[in-house]
Amino acid sequence: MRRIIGTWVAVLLSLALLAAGCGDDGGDSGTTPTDPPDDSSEGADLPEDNTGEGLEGEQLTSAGEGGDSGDLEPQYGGTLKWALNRDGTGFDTTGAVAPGSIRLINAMNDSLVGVTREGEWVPNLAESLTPSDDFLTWTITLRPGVTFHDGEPVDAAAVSANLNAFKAGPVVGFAFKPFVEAVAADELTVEVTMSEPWAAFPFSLQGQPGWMVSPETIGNNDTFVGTGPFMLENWETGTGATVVAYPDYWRDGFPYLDAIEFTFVPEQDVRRLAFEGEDVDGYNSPGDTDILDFLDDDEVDVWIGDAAGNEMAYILNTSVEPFTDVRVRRALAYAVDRQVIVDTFRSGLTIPASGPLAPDSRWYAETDYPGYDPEMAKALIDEVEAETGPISFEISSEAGASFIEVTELVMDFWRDAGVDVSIKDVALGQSAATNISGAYQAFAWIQFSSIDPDGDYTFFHSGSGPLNWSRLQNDKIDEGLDIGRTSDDPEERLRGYTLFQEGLAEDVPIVWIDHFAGIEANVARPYVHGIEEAILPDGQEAFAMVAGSFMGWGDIWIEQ
Amino acid sequence: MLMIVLRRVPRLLFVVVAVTLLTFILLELTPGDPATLKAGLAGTPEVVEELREELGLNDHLLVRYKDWAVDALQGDFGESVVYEDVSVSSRIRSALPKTLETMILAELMAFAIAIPLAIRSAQKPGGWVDRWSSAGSFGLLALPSFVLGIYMIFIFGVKLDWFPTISSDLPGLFDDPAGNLRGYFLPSLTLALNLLAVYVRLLRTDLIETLQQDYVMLAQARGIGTRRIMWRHVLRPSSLNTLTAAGLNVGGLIGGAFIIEVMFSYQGMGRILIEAVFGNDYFMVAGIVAILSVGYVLVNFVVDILYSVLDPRIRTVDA
Amino acid sequence: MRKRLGLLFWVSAVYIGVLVFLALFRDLLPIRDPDALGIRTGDCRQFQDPGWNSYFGCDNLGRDLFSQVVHGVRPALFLGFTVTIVSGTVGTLLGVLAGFLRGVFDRVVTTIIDISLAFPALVLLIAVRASFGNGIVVFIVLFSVLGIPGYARIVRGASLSLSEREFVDAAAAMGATTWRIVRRELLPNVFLPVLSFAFIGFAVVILAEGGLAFIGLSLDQITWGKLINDGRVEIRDHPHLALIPSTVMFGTVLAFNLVGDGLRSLVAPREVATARRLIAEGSHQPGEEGAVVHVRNLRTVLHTPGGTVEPVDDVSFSVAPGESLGIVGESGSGKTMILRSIVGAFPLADVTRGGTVEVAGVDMLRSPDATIRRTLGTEIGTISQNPLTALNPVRRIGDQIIEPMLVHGTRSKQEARDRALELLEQVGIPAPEQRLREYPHQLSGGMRQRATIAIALANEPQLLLADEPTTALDVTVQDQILRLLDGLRADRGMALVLVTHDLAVVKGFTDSVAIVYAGQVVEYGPTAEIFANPQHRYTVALIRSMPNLDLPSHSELATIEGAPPSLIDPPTGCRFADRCPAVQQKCRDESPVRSGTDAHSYSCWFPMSAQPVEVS
Repeated sequence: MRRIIGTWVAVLLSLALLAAGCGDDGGDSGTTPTDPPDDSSEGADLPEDNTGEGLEGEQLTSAGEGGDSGDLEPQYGGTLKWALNRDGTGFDTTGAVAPGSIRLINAMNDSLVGVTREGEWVPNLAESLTPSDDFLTWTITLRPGVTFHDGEPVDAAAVSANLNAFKAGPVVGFAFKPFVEAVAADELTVEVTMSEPWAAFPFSLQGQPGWMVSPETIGNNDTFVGTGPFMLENWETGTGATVVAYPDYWRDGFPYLDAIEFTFVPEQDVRRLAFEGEDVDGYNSPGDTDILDFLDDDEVDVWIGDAAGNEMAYILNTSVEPFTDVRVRRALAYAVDRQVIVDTFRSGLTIPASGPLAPDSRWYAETDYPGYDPEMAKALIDEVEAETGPISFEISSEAGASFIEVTELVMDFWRDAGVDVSIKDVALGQSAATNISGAYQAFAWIQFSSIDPDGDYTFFHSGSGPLNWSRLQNDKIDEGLDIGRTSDDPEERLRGYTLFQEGLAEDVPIVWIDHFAGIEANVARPYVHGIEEAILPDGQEAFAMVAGSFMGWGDIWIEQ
Repeated sequence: MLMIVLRRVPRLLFVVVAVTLLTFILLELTPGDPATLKAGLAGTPEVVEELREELGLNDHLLVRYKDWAVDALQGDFGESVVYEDVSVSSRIRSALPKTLETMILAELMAFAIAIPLAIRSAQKPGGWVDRWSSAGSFGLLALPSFVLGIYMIFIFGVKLDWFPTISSDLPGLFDDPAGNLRGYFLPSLTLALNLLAVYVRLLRTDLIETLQQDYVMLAQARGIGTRRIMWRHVLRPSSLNTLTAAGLNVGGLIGGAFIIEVMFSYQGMGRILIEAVFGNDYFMVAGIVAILSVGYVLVNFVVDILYSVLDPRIRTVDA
Repeated sequence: MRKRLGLLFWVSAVYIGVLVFLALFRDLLPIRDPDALGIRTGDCRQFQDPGWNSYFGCDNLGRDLFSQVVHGVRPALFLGFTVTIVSGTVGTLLGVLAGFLRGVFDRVVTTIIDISLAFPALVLLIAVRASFGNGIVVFIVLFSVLGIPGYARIVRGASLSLSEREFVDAAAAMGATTWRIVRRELLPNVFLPVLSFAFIGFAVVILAEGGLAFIGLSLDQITWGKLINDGRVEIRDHPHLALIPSTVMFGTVLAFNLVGDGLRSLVAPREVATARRLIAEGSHQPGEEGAVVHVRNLRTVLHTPGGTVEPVDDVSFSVAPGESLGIVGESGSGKTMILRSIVGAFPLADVTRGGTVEVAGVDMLRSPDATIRRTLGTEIGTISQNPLTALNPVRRIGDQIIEPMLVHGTRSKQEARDRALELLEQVGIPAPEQRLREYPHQLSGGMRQRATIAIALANEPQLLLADEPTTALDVTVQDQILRLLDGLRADRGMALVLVTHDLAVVKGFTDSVAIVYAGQVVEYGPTAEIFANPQHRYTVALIRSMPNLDLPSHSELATIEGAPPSLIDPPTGCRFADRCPAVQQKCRDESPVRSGTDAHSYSCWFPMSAQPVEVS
């Protein structure tokens, strides 16, 4: 039942991420915890540019022949067949949206805001966003003549309705903590008032809060009437969905495709077989061995994202024994050889992580996060045990979770350090309740794929209550996050986020494992072009794929 | 015949009621609260309480059951807790035909293969057909469908490309019979292979036993050929146990169906049921179980009728 | 030749023994810790292939697959056994009670079965597992509970059929209590289907656990099912992870079944089926003109798993049209076998027949199959002794009468139907139209016998073979049937062979008689002659043992002491020697030769006429 567990974990993650808005483009709140890779080969041939440090790069990478679409003229028409690894549970923008639904929504949605490859926010569906000097008011102006899929105008009333509905949503509203209300000042102008300064507000509008749907349909779960290049023709829960091109799409010239047929294929091997059997043109979430296989195959393009991906980590509850003691936490970090995990389970395709931000992020800062030092780990544990007696704890996990093999290895490392650790079964579907209620000592987690760190504010700030997973109260972290939220000066923000990362590295409320970006991939036939492109209205490039999800379906075309 | 039908109905109704009521009770006892689950991250006590009211979870079990039953009789099974705005009956309506078709095809295939095999085995016990089908059926019994499924897809779907690898989005049976059957062939066959192992064994045993009956020897003494004897004289009286096994399968088949549906990527009754149970999707579970129990009852009703068709001596028994 | 337990049996038995050993002593064995991560201890690489380092290879964390499989033996056996035994026992009991007692009991049990079967097991499993965890006890209870309805239903089905069967009625008629009937008649007969089901059930339990692993609900220990499920993901690149545990599971299920088969063949050799082959030895000697059936030096050998039996030894006789021959002997004397040997209808066994059997000019032993069948169908009619089992219970009377005509192409469908009606009338069954559509169980014993006769007469045979046609009937009916047969013989000029143990019948209805003892014809001749002047002492004893209604009622019935010899290992010399009042040493040393005249022959060194027979 790994897929189902995944769904529920993911639902929560989706809430988590869109909560404070993630810096991602195109609506994938980066919650997409793509299936954690489940197999790997032993030291199989690594791609040439791999120095054992994961795949890096400024561009999307592909070893397939069709990689260079630059020379070809896009062709119109055709239906793309795509296999997704799971369905979602519906499209209600004011509720929890599962990653499966997010992937579909990406094709039907244009968020108010987009993010460039440099990590700057730019208006997307909106025409402009202007803050007041104190960042307590934001003015959003809209483009004239844009309509929803049902023909209704995208005007200030519609946008305000969406924003206010999001705030009012019992399940997601807390993510909009500083937001007070949105008011339509005139037909194309929206005034948003805040209770606290929120400089990073626009970043949140690139995620779920910024998904605009026709006002009559706000709250509808069985359809998504958005503004994007495609509209929903039919959704058969659990089986598939079809989207067709929206004739009155506000961006001229897009989309190229006539339609996209999505099929949900939960079994990874079957997805691959469907692709090889030519029943689909591409699919998401291949395993790490599949990636390596396909990189050698001229008939296949592999698209590996380079934007922020998810991280895998073990969250420790710092408010209960034994994790109230920072020495124990640091010991656990010293005890794990992350590279072994990367080599064993990711075929070396990912990079070990020391924090939620990857080295290629502009906000990344080097820290003294504990490296692999088993003697140090043992020493710390011995020291603590001399005072308090034997240390033991449980990792809460739903049975059959797909990252259980990593957990088993991690537990083995921890046992070497001298602690006694076992898995505590959590009833299926109860991860959320457990985590919120704080009834755990440690749990395995996959999250934190925001490009802009403000998207992770809620999960680390001590003022967030139960959503601060680790319950850590750390001034450095708080201060850093607040600086990042309230300032729009890049240097100032970098200072803030450096504080943030340093705080995390010292206090180690979370034991990090790796950055997933190297394996969050999509596989497609070479005749599918445009995958590496996602052009914003002003011509700048956005990240085309984040955490394994495509951002720009509109500029994908098939060679006939 | 009508009398048999009429006499059965009260008991069948009772079964359906008992099963659905038991389901409600079972869901009640299962840890995990749909409201908490739905609330997710925002699951503060107030929010959860609000949701509980909304979902009617605070009413007494029997009240809830009664409300549900009354609606169900009119065809309204409520809405999914997990998939907001999606009605239970619409999900069932899209899933049921797929599972139904797979199961029926699977049973047909299983019998189509099992009967000739069993007959040949019973005719020449210890012969090579017997030994190979015996060993073969063990092999099939021991090979779980999720392993078998992968191989089937790989060989027939990818390498040979005779059949599609995924069975979602297929045309209706009456719109495009060829396309439809082609799409359901592999999943039905995978299911059938597990079934047929059981049928061959049971049928063979019974056939051999029947072959020792007086009337069979007398038929031989009348110069009736072996083929005719096997098919016309021996098969019918020997089929009861196998038929029983087939009728039993319906309930257990749902579990097998789940695996097949995941492997072949279509949303049938197995999948929506399991997902609903895991998701504590109350109304979904109740609705599906109701349909399944009605289905089971109908199937076994048919089996009972077949019993008396096959063995006229049973017709006089009120079973 | 007793069938020995083959090599396969012993291999399987040893294999199971090994499994049991592994299950019990797995912790003491010098194998790696199945939970040890080979990639950290360095013992094994990730996904290492099977080889010398690790016999079965290693999994994604370098855990040794061999020790994992070994550790999986215990839960597999334990789960399989306990669940099968518990659900089998309880289920069988419930099923027997429901099917046999019927009435309220049946209704209650059936309803419970229906409810539990209608309830999707998975829902129950998930719900229970969520509440009670994944220990082995939970699994045993769950699987047993889920398995009971299956057994109950199968057994109930079987019991229903059986409870209608005649032997149960007969037993009840003899005053057996319910429990006794259940124990002695019912249980042995449901035993086989249940056992078959149980072996399958064993495999199903192990598999079901694997299926649960697929959903994420497996046992809290290492099981084969979990190993297979875990290995499934790697099936493309590292198939050994799933295939090896699968093979082990397959082998185990196979082994249990082979051992089960072997044990069954020991305990109930009759039950073990072997192919039926008919072999003919020797050569054919055509008979004299005019005989409908001509048997000369007929010898039959049955090769059964229980041993070799020679029920027919050097039997000769012939019957002319319109004549009737009586074949007399005790039960087990082989008289039925003589008839069987003529028509070649035997239970599953290898049979060798030697000598000559000629019916209507056709060599019944060596002719091509199609010829033999045609003769069987058109020239010979057979009536067996038990009318209750002679008719196929699931086919209508009419169909069974019509069938021989259609199969052998003697009549068209409509003609056949008309003739069937005629036949029913002729055999004295009233309301023939209605009868055509009825089933055997709707007719009384006497009627059924008449129906059997009708079937036998369908194609107007020249020869009618009647095997104790009246034994199972009551006296008044007996007489009717015999007169019927006799009348038919006279009207149609059929040859009639009447097998019986009742001399009175012979006296009344036959032209000639053959006395059969221990598979041999000891005396043969015209009936009147035999009765007037019996030569063989067995014949004498038989005649004397006939109840004589003229004697006073308190007179003793003469009986023949002793019992016939076994046909599996017949003695040398005269087979009647042990019971013969005039036995001499010569009798024991040499088998008597046939002597006397062609008309009246006997096999005895010292026949009643007190002329010792000289060997010429």
